[in-house]
Amino acid sequence: MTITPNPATSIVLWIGIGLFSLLLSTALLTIGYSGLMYYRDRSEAAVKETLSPKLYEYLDGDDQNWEAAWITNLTREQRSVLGKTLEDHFELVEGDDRERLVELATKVGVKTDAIASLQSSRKRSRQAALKRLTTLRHPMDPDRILSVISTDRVERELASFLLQLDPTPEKRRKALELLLSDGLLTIFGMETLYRVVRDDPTLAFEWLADSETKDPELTAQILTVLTKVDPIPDDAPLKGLIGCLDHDDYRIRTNACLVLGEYGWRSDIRDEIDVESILNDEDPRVRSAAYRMLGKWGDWDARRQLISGLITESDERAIVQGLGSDPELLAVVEEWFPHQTVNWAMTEESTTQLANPIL
Amino acid sequence: MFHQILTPVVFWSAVIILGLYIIINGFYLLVHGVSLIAVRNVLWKRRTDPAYSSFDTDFVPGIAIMLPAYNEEDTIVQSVRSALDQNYPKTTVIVINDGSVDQTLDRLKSAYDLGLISEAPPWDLPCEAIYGIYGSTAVDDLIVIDKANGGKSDALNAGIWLTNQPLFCSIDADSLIDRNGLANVITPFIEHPAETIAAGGSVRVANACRIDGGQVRDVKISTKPLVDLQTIEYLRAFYSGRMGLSWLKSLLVISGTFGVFRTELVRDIGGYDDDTVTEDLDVVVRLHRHMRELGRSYRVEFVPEPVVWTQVPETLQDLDSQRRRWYRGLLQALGSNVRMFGNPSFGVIGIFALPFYFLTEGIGPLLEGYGYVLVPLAFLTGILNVEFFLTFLLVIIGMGIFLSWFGIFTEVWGFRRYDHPYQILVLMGYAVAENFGYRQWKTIVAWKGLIDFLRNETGWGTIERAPFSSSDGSTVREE
Repeated sequence: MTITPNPATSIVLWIGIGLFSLLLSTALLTIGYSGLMYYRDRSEAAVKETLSPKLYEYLDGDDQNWEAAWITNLTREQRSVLGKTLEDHFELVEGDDRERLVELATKVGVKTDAIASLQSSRKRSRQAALKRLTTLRHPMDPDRILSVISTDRVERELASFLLQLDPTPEKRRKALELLLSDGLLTIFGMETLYRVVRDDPTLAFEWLADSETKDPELTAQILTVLTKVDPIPDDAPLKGLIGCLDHDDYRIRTNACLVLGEYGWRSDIRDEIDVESILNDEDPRVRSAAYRMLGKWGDWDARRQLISGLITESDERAIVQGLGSDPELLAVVEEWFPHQTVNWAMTEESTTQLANPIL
Repeated sequence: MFHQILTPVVFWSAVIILGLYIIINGFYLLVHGVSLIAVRNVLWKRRTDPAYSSFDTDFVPGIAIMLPAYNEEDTIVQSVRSALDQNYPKTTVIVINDGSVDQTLDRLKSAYDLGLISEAPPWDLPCEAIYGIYGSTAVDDLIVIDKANGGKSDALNAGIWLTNQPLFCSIDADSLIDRNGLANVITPFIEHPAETIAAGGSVRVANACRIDGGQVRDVKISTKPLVDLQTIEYLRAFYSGRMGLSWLKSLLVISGTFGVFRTELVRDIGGYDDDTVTEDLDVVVRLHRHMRELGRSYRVEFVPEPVVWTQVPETLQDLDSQRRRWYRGLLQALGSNVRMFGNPSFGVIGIFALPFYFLTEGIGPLLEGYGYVLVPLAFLTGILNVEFFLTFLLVIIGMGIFLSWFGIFTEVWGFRRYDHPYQILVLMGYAVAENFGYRQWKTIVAWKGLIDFLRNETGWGTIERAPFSSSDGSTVREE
């Protein structure tokens, strides 16, 4: 005689078995992984404790025989922990200490492994390798690096960073092309772009000259970078920059004003700028940037225009930006404005940079 | 006759409740499953993100750290210290003293050498009366706004309209942020500077942790069961729930305890709403609506690694008050945005996120509470058979335990703030225990919250805050 459970009981049984299996596997996975990681961390902490004094000894010493023996005798676990420790330290030290750490990382094979991983077909392995090489500040040959990276933005930005480490004109051009080839930049990308163009922003200005056909957000990002760059020589092309003052996008007009603030000494550029038009811009953020520009120029003409703009300015934030742009002028005109406006203009908070990397 | 009508009503009610709870758990499984993909991506990013510090570049965006404070004399100095100690190069800390009647402002004046900048703001701020704006002579980048009481939303609006920073971060005055919390939470803004409009970090329970120098040094499990039950909830909510929802582009809430927003956008939507008691949920939903109406692509992201530590209520009374307020706020936010429900013009927010929240957080607790009464009674009176009753228990309790353990697994796999296996075992034990009493109690709270909502209750209630524990085990009270 067989007993057949009714369908409802079978369903409940199967649900119960299924749920029990799920709970059991989750519990085992969770506790097992927690235990594994706990013991791994303790083991690594113990290894790190023995390595740390050696590391400091290495930094302070120059006994190559000792160093070679120490490195040769490192176990696999010690090499792994040392590699992680070095990566943590790279962000904390500069100068000679950093160079020594890079040297050590090279000796234990971190650089070699990273270069080998560049050939990987897996995106994450390539990116991890590129990251390691940027941490090590390892310059690379453009052809070598361009042959391995994809069009992925992370890879392009990391590759550009490596190219600018040893900046020849060719490397700068290739780095710029990589950065601007597709889509917007991350903040890291903007920093990389800055490092590419800081000694010679001509390439960036040439790109701007063609900016009407370009993505306005990317143009605004490039202008933000250029606000940090020192002024360029007399013969550099600035037509593109001046053209940005007429752009539809307020962010481009704002950033263009801020960049032009560094060119007050160029009478040929000032002659091409319709300051009155900018001071009457519909967007108060652009007018704020114009006040900043005039404050940077700092001569009598600029101050006269600044004052005349502020007197008729309706936006209180713009007034504060204007007053804060020229501390000497503030002392002269402070009685013309409400005291809370003047007091606020003297604080750090009020003079927050208008060149906003967050578009 | 009565029995003939009642039996089918009870039976079908129970079937509908069970059916809805199967659907709700199905949604939870989807979100929690997707959270694993999100955690895997987080782990990968640790290995592949560019190796540079925010101090290495001038292009990181400035952030105004807003600390609205009402009667926070015990914690305010430490909270400000935690904010000032943030490992980030461009911040302004703006404390908004919202009409405190205790020593909050005096303690700030004493600790940070405040001097009056002006009695009036430089431009109109859409908030209650301003008594004064102070700066510190002892530390850079600290502003204190002293104003009449207007509530948290009103206080935040004062700070949002005053600052010029492109981003602001709202932090509760009774919370502590990890030193690298700010640098981590703005990661979406770093990676997608044109699209990201808001990002939030995770909130963890600080009640038993040791604090030193404004930082959590030693993460511990509390000896108070009520605190540990909330720890489980937070792990589940953040590391499974919000991670998954963020990956699905369906994040509707950035915790008010730690969220970063674009300043100008929040001004564009009129700032925080005074009439809501859960301003964090309300502002994010309105941002979604605003961006959808503008037709611009955007991101609202959850970032699991930055952590803010908060003191959770330690008594049932305080927890009841908090959870009723949260539930009321949820209903307010859902009610204000009814036209987005199921509306494809609002994309995934209208089609998935809002219905999901409505089902799981809105009516879910109410149905569950109703089910706890109906189903056992129906079983005892013979209307429902044992199979149905067992299925009900498996779906509610069994799945509840699984989802909590899933959240704990995510914590173990990705973050390991609780790094000892014993701590994990304790948490897993509480994840089981929460289904026998605590969960049922929460459904009662939800029903009470519903009644409060229908009665138009507007109060926040008061919650007793335990001061943070210092490294020698003593409580830290600011002199």
